[in-house]
Amino acid sequence: MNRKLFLQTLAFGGTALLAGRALGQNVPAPNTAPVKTGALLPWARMRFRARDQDDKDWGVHPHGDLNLIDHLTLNTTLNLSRKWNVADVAKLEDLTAFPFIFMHGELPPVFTDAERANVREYLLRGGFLFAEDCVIGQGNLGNNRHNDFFFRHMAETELARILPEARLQRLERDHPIFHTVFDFKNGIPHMQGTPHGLHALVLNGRIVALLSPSDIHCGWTNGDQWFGRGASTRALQMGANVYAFAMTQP
Amino acid sequence: MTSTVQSFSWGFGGPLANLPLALAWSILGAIGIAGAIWIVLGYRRTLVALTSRRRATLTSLRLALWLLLLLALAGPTRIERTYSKKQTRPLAVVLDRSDSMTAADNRGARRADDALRRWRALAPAAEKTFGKPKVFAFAEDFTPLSSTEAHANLRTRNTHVFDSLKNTLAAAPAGGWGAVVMLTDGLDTSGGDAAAALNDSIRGALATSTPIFSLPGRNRFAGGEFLSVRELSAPSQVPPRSQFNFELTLESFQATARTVPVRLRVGQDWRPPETIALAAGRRAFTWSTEIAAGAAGSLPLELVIGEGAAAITTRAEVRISPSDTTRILYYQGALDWGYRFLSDILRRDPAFSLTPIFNLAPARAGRSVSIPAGSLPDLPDTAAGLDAYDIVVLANAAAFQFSEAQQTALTAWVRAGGVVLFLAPDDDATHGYAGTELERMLPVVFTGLRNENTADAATTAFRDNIRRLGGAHGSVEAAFASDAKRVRNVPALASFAWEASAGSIIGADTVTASPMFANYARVDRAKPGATVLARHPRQKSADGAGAILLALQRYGRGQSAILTSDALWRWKLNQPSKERGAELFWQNLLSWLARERPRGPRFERTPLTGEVGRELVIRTLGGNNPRLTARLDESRALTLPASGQQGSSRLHTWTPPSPGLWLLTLTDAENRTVRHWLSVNAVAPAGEASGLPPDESLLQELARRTGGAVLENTPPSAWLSTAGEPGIDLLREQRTPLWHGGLLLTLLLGLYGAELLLRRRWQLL
Repeated sequence: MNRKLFLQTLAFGGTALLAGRALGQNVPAPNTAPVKTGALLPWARMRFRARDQDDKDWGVHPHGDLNLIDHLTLNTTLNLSRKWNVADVAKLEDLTAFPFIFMHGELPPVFTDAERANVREYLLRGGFLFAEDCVIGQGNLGNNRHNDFFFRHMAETELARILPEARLQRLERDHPIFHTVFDFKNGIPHMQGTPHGLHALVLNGRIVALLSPSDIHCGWTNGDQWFGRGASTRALQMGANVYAFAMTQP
Repeated sequence: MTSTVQSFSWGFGGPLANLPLALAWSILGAIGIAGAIWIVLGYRRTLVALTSRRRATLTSLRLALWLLLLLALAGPTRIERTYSKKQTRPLAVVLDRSDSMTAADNRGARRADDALRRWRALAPAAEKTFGKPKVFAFAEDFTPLSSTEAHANLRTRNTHVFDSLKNTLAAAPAGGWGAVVMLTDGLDTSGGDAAAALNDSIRGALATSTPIFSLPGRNRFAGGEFLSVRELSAPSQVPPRSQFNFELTLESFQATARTVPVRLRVGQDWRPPETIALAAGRRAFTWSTEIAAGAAGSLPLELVIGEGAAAITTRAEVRISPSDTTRILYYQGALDWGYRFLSDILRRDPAFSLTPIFNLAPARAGRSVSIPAGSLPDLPDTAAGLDAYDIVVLANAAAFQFSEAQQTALTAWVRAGGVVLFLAPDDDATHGYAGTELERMLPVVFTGLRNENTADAATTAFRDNIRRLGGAHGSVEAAFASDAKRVRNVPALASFAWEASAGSIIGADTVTASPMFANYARVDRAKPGATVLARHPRQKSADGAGAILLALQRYGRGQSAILTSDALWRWKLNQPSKERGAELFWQNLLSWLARERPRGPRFERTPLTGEVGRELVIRTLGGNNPRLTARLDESRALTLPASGQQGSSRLHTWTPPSPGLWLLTLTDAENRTVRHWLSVNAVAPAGEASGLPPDESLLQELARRTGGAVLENTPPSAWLSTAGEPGIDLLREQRTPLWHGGLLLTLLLGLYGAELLLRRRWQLL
């Protein structure tokens, strides 16, 4: 090392040391959200009446949805708006504003014929519905973690009335939806409820709606605390698979 | 052979480091003198009286210490240089003695003389650098010469520039030529593929690190007036009732400006004649027209330029046939709903096949993601890889997602006839395309800024509240949901405002479908030559016109289009399920974009003229086992088998046996036929005696890509710099600084110690 290099090293080293300490807190965190392209995409929860004129069951744990939006923003190339929208099943124009609608409930939903027609038209136009059974223990159903009232009513009654020409089928573990963004070797991760498996409503060879009995939404909300360590991540990752599959299925 | 030379130099450090040597020495000298004065003055007054001798001794010791310190500051450095005896590679001088170089102009000047005269001025510098050059001469043949003045016995009918360069490189001694200097006008009249030959020559020169210099010979020889068809461009197949572009590139030379009539026959109907104005001098110009294709079948086209015996007739034929499957490669830069809706539309129509490329996770995620079945992992990075598709849709993609190779492949593919539809993602991402290869290809200039994704105040407050409460709270959640259901935040949809010409270009059905959109990406303006088809009904762009929604541009033989809205999924969701507007729009737009995409058997860059006895290379592409025949009038058809392959092209070499308008017919196993007319003359209309000026662009290209230069009256700088010190190359240079040597330190300490001891002894301390 010559004199010039020595002095330069000393000067730069010292400056860097001092500057590093002074500016250290401004170094960006490594986990910042990636740069996004494309217009912001909207998220929406479906509003519907449940048994006994219940108008609260549909909107449980909205921040679970917001947690999934964060997860999708960070782990996929999606550019989702961080806004929680409500799509009222009674208004077709509400539904058709959103390409993907999340439906969530514990109590059996009660649709009017007009509402069924709205959901049908929404699905026929190309919209996608993800309906999930929830267990929160309301409506005198008891705090039983194996409740499946929403799932059974949707599977046995409502979906058949909405799209009678479509076919509801359980998705096997090798279905692409379990491998689209994250790999799930054992199918949908189960949080609570009865593990009937993830079901798909197939119309003309294309999945137009998904019906889940596993309450992964509660996993998005507070999964680690309610279902054990790692449950939250698994639930969010399955949510990412559902959303990405809906966008990319041929 | 190497030799070692040691040299000594001064180097300055610290604040003097980058100053000119004289200035640094001056500053150092001034500091030295100031210090010396201070030392002398300091020892003039001491607490204890000193004798003059003792004062002088102490002053001398301090001065010596001071001067040595300054010397150390100056940074003396020993520089050891090792040189090698340079192995000089010889120079080749190649003289063009073809007819175009030796034909005299109206003043009796010849290009060969002009080049040689200037070479004589450059030769001394060349000889100092390379030694005595080896000399060659060429025209149709290639031969060595004893000197540049020697006579060569050559056939001079044609000029084989590239062959002679190849021969020169082959005649190089071991280690290759130091440089090749060509005295030529660069007019290669050998009739081969000039672009391929140029690339071969450059590859050969680069393989031996041989720079190619040239000295273009010039004179005033203008040749005779001529008018010829350089290129004719028409699609080989188009869909029924579509429109296509017929384009012709003409080349001419005329002493004074003149006009020529152009008449076009489409099918059996002659269009009204048009007139082309030709300015004086050598000119190349393009003439084009739009032609409407009718029902399925063959559409013959005949173009007559000029009148009387000098008229040029050229023919082409376009096959009108229902489209084959339109193959679409859909590249999705970031997940977006457009693909779901578009794929649903296209999968119902067997005329389309869609292959997606998804980018599911951001690149920084660093984990492998399964690729959905039927999709490709990434955009091909060769034009050949893209040839399996008719349209490439770039949707929601940022410029940084494409490698340089992918961008180059895409532009090359479009230039050769491919079609790109760009679905602009957003203002910010489109701005990233500014200055890229892709932007050059697209019909608009990008601009704009990004919209930030920020949560609304109610959502942010709710999330903060829930976080504080520990993850879930029934009444807070219910209150938020209750408020949210009262807020509707659905963007209003707007209709495209179509330009008046849109219906006639892309079809009235497409325009009446009335697409609707919510978001669009702002672009600065359309490029000159682009066609804007649809604009925003209210928003304006920088030029005051409506903001661009759909625009097109021809790029080479292909086409690019941009749709600045998203893929119109909101429109599809807002359209009753029984309506087919979105389906109609997309199917029509994609079919129209792919209408000129070459399909079936076809000719590629096939010459329009030929010469009796001169070999031609005919390139064909596509088709299922096609057969090429040539026929003159009613004579028996000659089969021209493929003699080779270049990329995806088949090469057919053929030497026309007699003059006339030859019909080349390419028919494949599915009976798809395409025809090409070749005008064969007894003597080539252009060439040695055409009066073409020197092809300086070719010579410059040759020089630029091999590290040479086009020489004029002064030798290149590389020759001048080495001419003074021939044969020497610096191999190694080692610098050893002397300032931090032990000897210097000991000397300084010794001086300082001696001074301290004497001061102590003489009771100054």
